[in-house]
Amino acid sequence: MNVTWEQAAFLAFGALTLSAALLVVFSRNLFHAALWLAATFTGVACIYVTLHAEFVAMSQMIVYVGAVAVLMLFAVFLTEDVVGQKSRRLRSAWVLALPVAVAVCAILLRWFSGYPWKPPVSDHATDTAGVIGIAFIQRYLFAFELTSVILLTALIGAILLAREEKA
Amino acid sequence: MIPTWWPVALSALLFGIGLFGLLSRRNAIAILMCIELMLNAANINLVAFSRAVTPQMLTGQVFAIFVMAIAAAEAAVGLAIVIALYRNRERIVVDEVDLLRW
Repeated sequence: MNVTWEQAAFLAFGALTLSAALLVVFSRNLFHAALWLAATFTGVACIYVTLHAEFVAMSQMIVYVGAVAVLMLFAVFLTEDVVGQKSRRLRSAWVLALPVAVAVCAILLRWFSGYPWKPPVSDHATDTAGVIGIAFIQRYLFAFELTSVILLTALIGAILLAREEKA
Repeated sequence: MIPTWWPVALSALLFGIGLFGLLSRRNAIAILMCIELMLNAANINLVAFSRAVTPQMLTGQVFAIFVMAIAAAEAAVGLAIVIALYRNRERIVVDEVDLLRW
């Protein structure tokens, strides 16, 4: 079986993503978990590049690695004593969670392996940012505006919830 | 050319890892991290399908951007709730926050 460079890159980044995700779930130190989360997001961005989704990859880097992972780090700093990890990391119910997760995973893989997937086409759009931008202001204009309203609501809600109450 | 089922299988595995963490971690922030993992798995699927089904219109990629925006809003509100919880209870272990439990 001939593996092209593209496929080799996909396999390498996929392995990186999955191992980083496992470390997110299993690392005892929450600070390390947040850093591995940033690594997972970066791996997923590399996956997007191998799938010719350059604009989504850049958005992934900016939104997830730049904003969400840093937000997680801030929350860890604000709540947990990062140095002394005295508490257990997993609930006692993890023995139940493991078969559930493995079963869902197995069912998904089984369905996916039996499905006749359409092969990817070679004449895909190359100017991804342009095509997505035009789709945002034409076809999905309402959803786009609605998303901005949701983001504004989330912003105000987060400030209200996290604000120190002076009374 | 990467076959379509590769990213789909990767996404299923990532979703499984996220689901296990979501069900088993005790810390609220770690649970939010696992939700982000699962949302990322969904996004990988959308991008993979966009490549196979709508390669010229990139509908899947547009949806991936929408999911990203909603995920960012979810993370902001979720972490604000966690911080408010920490301020009130000094603990953010989900087993111990059972005020509304019957």
